[in-house]
Amino acid sequence: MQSRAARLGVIAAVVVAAIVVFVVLKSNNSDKSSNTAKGVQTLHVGSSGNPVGGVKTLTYNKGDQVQLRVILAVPEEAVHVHGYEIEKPAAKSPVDFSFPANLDGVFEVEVHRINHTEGPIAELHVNP
Amino acid sequence: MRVRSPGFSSRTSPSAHALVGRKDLPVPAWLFAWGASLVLIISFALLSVAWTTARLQKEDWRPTPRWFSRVVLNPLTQVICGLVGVFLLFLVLYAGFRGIEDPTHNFSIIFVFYTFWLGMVVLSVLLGDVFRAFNPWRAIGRVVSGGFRLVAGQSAPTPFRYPEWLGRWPAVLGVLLFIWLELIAGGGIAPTPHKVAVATVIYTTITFVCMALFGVEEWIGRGEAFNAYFGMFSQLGPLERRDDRVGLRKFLTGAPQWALVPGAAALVLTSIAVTSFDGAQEGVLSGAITWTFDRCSDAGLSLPNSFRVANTIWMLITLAAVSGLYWLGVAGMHTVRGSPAVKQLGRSFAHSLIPIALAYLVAHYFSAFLYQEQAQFTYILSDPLGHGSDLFGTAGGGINYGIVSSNTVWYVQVGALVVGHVVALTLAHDRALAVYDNVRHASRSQYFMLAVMVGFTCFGLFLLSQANA
Repeated sequence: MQSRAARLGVIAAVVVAAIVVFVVLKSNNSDKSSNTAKGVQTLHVGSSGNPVGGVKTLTYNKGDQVQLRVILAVPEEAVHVHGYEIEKPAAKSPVDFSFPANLDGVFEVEVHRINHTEGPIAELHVNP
Repeated sequence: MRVRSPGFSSRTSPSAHALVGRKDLPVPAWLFAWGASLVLIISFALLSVAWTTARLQKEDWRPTPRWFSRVVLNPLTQVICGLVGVFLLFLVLYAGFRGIEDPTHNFSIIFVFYTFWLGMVVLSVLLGDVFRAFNPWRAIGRVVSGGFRLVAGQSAPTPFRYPEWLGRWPAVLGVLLFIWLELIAGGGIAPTPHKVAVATVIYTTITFVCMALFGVEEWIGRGEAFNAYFGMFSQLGPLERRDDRVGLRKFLTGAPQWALVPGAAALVLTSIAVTSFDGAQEGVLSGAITWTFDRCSDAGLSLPNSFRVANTIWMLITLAAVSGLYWLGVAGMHTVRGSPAVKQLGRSFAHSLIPIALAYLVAHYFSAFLYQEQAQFTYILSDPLGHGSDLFGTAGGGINYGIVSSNTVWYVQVGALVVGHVVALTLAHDRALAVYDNVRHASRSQYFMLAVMVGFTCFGLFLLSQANA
């Protein structure tokens, strides 16, 4: 198995196998579009500045419109969407967001509390 | 920008506050499956086409033209590089003590954990052991010992010889503590610039003491953690300095010699383990860490301390698991006839994991590095303290998180792991041919190494497919 031709043959076989497996797996890929968030998503923030019911994960496909309504039990300083770098004052509730999901990745939505701490209230997953 | 100290009031495990505004989506299942099957296909193909006499054991180092060495290594360049290093060390301390507390806007955080810790790895692979030239502790040490020679007329005495058994162990400890500072010391949030500055002062002090005890070049060349860590990656590249000449060697031929020192295996395994831990902290291990965290806080520890204890325990468990996998493979190899003692065998193959350590770094930090370097060269550059200065007119700049798409990130991550795997197998195979006296034994020993490498690579892929923070 040491001749030059045999080696090239094995390498070619590997390349072919890699491409075939890639194409097969990729075409079977259907995890897109499944459970994406639609319409206005409401996020409640309790009086301790923590999200009621834990940090929610909201899934979108790239290009979808993200619509969030953050309802705060007490006034806080701001609500901040990471990555998109949208920050809105949160002295008055509700705080509304509407923007196109034109950046894929995972982004935290965070409340900046009046006592200068901050914490996540939701996580946006934007699929490519 | 206001000073914020992120806190946590709920009884849930606080996760390390992301410095980065955009985290990567987990590698999709199909790509994970592809990467894993590719790894298997390539591994077996490699076994069947591989060469039968060792080719990478001799360095075959050839000096570059004399003028080139003179340009690179003349005293003026050395002084300039040393000054740059010392200036950056000073800036880390100054920004840490005097700058804004917000880690995302302080030079000391972005520089130490991204530009320095990750960027220097890239430079080391491409250009060789460049950190040595910029090493601020070495530069100061050389000035002090030079001054001593001038005044006393003789070299400063070094009370101790660097013990052989100590090898790369100080670097192992250094890397562990550095990552502990990055991921754990903050107790659930990023370490404050102040903490980083204090750690820098402590490390600087230790380094000065050790240089005084063992000699400047001796300590820098063997005990100093960053030099040893970056030096490890520089073994993969072709450029190496010897005395007053810069030379070229064949790719990968530097690595085999590197591993024969005590602690070398531990250093490369530590590097793989801490990167794994960083990837697993908010993914695979988050449940286990939360459980431990709850037990700690039930026992009466404060929340930050519970975070520290829980994460320290799991970081050490990760280290034990990663090391265990490697030594298990070595023990398997030992069953092949003609094997040297287990300890020696483990050392002989440790260098073959350097490409995997590098691949893990690329896979886990590639996107974060691209983002943070934008910060480094825009607002951090013009406003290193976060006090509102605008030295170079770039303070208004920000991070463009759209610079790479998720698809690009995924392909780079999976590609890095697969390439690292192939290079690692190549190095291990070649070493086996040198260690064993016949090809059949060498090939048999490699079934075990193959299992170890496939284990590491698929584990790396698995981490990326779970959470990709």
